[in-house]
Amino acid sequence: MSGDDMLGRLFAGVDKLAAGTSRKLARHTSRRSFLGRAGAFMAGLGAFPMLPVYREAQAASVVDEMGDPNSCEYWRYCAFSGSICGCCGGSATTCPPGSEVASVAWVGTCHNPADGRDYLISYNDCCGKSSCGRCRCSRSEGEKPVYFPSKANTILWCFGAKSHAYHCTLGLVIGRADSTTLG
Amino acid sequence: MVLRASCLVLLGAVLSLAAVAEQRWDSIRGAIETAPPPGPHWFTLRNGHTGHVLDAATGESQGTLTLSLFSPALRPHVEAGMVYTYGSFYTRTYYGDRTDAVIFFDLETMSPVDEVIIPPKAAGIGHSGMIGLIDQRFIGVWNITPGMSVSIVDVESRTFTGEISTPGCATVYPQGRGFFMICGDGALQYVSLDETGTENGRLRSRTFFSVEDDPVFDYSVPTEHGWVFVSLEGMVFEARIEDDEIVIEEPWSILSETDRADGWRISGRQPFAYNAATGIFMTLMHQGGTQDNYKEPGTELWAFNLRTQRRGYRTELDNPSRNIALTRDDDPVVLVVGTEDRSVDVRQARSGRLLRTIEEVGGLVQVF
Repeated sequence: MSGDDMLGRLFAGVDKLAAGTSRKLARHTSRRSFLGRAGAFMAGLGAFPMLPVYREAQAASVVDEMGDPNSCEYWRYCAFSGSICGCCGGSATTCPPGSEVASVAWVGTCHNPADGRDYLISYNDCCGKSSCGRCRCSRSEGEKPVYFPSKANTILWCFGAKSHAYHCTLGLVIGRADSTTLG
Repeated sequence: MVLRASCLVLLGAVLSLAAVAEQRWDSIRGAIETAPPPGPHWFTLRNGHTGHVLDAATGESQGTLTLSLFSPALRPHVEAGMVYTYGSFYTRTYYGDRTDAVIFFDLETMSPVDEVIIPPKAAGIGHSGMIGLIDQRFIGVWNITPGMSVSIVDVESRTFTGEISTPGCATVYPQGRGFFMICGDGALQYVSLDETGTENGRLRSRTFFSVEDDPVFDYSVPTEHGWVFVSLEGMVFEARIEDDEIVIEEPWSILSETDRADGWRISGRQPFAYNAATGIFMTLMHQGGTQDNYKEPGTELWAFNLRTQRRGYRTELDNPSRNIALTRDDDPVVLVVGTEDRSVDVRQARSGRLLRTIEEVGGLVQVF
């Protein structure tokens, strides 16, 4: 088994763990408790800033997709709010040059029309520059008010970046929402 | 002698002309206005880094406030002749070292006259619930990092008094010498302050809404005795403090069975408003969709009496709106901020009659 395969398996497991844990938390814990745990999870993402990027790379190789990533109708943007980074010199998964990616994000659950499955999408803001302003998009499927921050898109999500000046937003696939077992 | 007399006549004529000119022409350098005392229909609109101060009675601008790029709301304090806000400032505008401050604007000159530095944690976007004036004495600013807390500033001594940790709870809705917050477990929290602005007690309400099934808007407006919260399905909850407990009144619905069958929903960023002097309670409504559409612009304005819980009228909006507010006087107007063009419709609250439209302004609306 190559090193890449080992990493792939490791992170595939992390994806499933994240998805399974979210569902389990949603089913079996109080909202307040869920918030605390979700906060700890997001703090964990901050401690390993490369993790979501790598996981996106893994997911992209297996997720069958359709649609225009620069369109608000793109399936990943079901709970998106802001400017689409693909219109600002980046892409759905990469921040534009000179910006800084936030290490924590809000999460949506979006339905992929290409394979008929639901996926967890992490909406990481790109920060530290003036607002891009192009391709503005606001959708709110499953989105919640600010007192439930992990699902809220009306928060300036530039946490972990040196500047909280908002530039644009990514849509990263971080796992399947319907997965219940560890790989 | 004749020559001297002629010169005097000529000089007189020149001086007369100058006097006439002085009457006819303005000074080569303009003067600077000062604002009059606020009237009962004054309100503010915050859009980007400009805060507009307007009088709905005339439609005239009274001046503007220069805000930071991260100043979601304003908090007028008429008795002190001030408007408070907070902001974040970077040494290179968008990057560099960050400083957060509560800013004191003088109402007469619309200029910043003082500031108090607070922790660099203030929520950079949002609505009027991000900043509260507590008992005319303290300003509370909601922080999210994403850990949640509230920074307290004493507006009399103009000092930062401390940061209160409020995990899982958002917004600052003042009541007495303290403030309500909405929490992620479906309850309200009340934090009381002492004379120095330090926390001296904390109450928690019963769980009265479900975040998953029917969450309340994070926006709220004050009533005579407390605050009113509305769920995405249109349930109205009034909260107040009584005998050291948070009392949540029995909820009622703004929707009849027919309204529900017709698909009417409350929606917007400031989707409801209340005037305590008359009991008028207004909501922005749209038709169709699900809870996910809770930020949609409203296409109708519905008017209720909060005391009787009955609807008085509904009116269609030519210009859909996400933001409304009611003035506090006993003949209130409702301010309806349009989304399709930058304008504000001023309507008589009792009748819904359109009184005037104020052009080329928009954003978050707050009354004095």
